[in-house]
Amino acid sequence: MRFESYIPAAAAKRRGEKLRGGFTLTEVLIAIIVMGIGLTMAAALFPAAMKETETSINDVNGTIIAANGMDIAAGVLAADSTDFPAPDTWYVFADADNTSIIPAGLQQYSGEPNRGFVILGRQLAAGRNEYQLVSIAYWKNAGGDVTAEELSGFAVDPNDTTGLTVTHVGGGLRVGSPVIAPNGKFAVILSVNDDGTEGYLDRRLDSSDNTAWVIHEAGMNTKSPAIATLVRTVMLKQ
Amino acid sequence: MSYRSGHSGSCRPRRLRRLGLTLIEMLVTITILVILLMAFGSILTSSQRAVSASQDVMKGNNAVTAVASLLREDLVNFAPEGFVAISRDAAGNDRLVFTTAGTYKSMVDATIANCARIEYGVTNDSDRILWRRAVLLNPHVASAGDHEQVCLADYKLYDHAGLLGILNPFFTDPAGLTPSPNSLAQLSDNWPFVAQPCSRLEVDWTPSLLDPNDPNNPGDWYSCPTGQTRLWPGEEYDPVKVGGYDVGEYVKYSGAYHVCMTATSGAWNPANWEDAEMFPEALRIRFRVGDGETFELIVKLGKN
Repeated sequence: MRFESYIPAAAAKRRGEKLRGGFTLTEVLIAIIVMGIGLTMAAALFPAAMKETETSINDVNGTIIAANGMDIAAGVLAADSTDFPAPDTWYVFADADNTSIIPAGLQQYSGEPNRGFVILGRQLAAGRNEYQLVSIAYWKNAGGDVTAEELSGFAVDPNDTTGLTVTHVGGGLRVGSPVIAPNGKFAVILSVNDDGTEGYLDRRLDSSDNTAWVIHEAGMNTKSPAIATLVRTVMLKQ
Repeated sequence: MSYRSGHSGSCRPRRLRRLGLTLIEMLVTITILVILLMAFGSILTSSQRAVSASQDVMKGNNAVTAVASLLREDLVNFAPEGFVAISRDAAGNDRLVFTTAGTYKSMVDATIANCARIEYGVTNDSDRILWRRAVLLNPHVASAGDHEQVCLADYKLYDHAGLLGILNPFFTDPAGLTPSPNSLAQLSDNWPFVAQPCSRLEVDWTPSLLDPNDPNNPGDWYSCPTGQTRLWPGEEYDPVKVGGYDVGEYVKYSGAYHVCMTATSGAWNPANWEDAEMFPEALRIRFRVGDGETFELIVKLGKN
C-alpha cells in the first residue's frame, strides 16, 4: 500500500486535491478531425457563393444584352424590307447562321465576339402589325458559334403531372437554354441528363407543344450559353 | 502483494502514470494541426478575397441595373416634339438632355406634369457622381424647384438656331437655365444621384441602326469630339471626321463644350434641322461604375 503514495493521482486524491487529467493522443486526433470536418463544411460554402456571384453577373449582363438586342431588332426590322414568313411561325432574325438582316457586328455586345444576342420573331396574325420578338442574350462557354435550333419531337413528359419535365429524342436539350414554345411562352432548362434527351424546366409548359426553340453553342453538349431571355410585342411595319 | 510487502525496501519506485501526451505525441499533433491550418488557411484567404470581390461586384451590379433601367425607361418616353442634345466637355465627360412625355411627379412637392426634360451627367469633382434630373415642363401648378413653365409645344415654335440659343446656357452658364451640379454639395433633393463613382459616361448616336448603303454592316456610331475651345454662337463649323463620316455640320462649339444636338419642329423629320438623316434613331451609352466593367446600352429612341 505504501507504493501507492508514488502514484500522484492517488496521492492527490488522498490529499483531497482535484485530479487534473490530460488529453490522450486519440482524443486530440479526434478533435482535429472534427475541426477538419467543420472547416471543410465552411469552405464548401464558398463555391456556392461564387456561383451566386456568377449568376448575378450573368443576370446583369444578360438583361442589358437582351434589351440591347430587342431595341436593335426593333430598329432594324422596322427599316428592313424582309417580309415575315407565314404568320404564327418563328423566324430566326439573328444568330451565327443568320446575319443578313442583323449583321454579325451588331449581334455582338460591345464588339466582343463571346457575348451577344439571338433574335427570333413571328407575326402574330396575318395583316396585323403586331410582331412578337424574343431576344436571348448569350455568353459563350468555349467560343463556339451560337445558333437557335428548332427541336421537333420535343415533348412535355406525359408522366410528369407538374409539366416541368421535357424530353427530346435527339438530345438537343442544354442547361440554361430557354425552351421557346410555338406560342411564345418560354421556360428555362435547369438540368438535363447526360445525353440531353431529358430536361427539367423552371416553369410549366403546355403539354400540347411538340416543337420548341432552344439555343445551342457549337461543341457544347450539355450547357447552353444563354443567360437571359426577353419577349416583347412590337409594331414593326406601318 | 508479496512483491509489494516483501520487497518494499529494495524496490525502485514505480514510474509515474502518464496523464498528458509525450513529446512525440505532441509533435505529431502539432504537425498535423499545422498542416491542416496551412491548407485551410490558404483556402480561407482566397475565399475571403473572392467573397470581398464578389461583394464589390454585387454592389456594382445593383448600381448598373439601376442606371440601365432608368436610362431605358427615360429614353423609351422620348418625345420627338422636343429635342435631344449630347455634349462632351474637354475632359471627355458627356451630358445627355432630352424631352420626354409621360407622367412625372415632382421630387420636391406634389406637382405633376405630363412632360419633362431629362438630364444626365457626371459631376466633375473627384466624387464623380452620376446624376439624373427630371425637370417638369409646364406643370399644372406653377412653383419653384424642379419645374419650368415651358411645354413641348413651345419647343416646337423654335427653329434650330432658337433652340440652340435656349440651350446655350445649359452648357455654358453655371447660373443659366439648368446649371450643372458639379459636386455633391450642389446636388439638391431634386437632383438625385444615381451611382457613384461613375468613371465613364459616353453617349454616341446613330441615325440608323441599319446602314441603308450597306445592309451587311452595322450602323455607324457618331460621337461628340472631345473639347476644343471655340466661341459660340458663332455658327462656326469644322469638318470633323467621326467613324469615317464628315460630321462637322453637326458639331456646335460652345466654350469648352461641344454640343451635338438634334431638334425637331413638330415632326419626326424636321424641316429646319440641317440634315434630317442625321437625326438619331438610337443612342449607345457606355458607362462604368467604380472600377468595374464598362457596360454598353443600345437604346432606340421612343416607343417601338
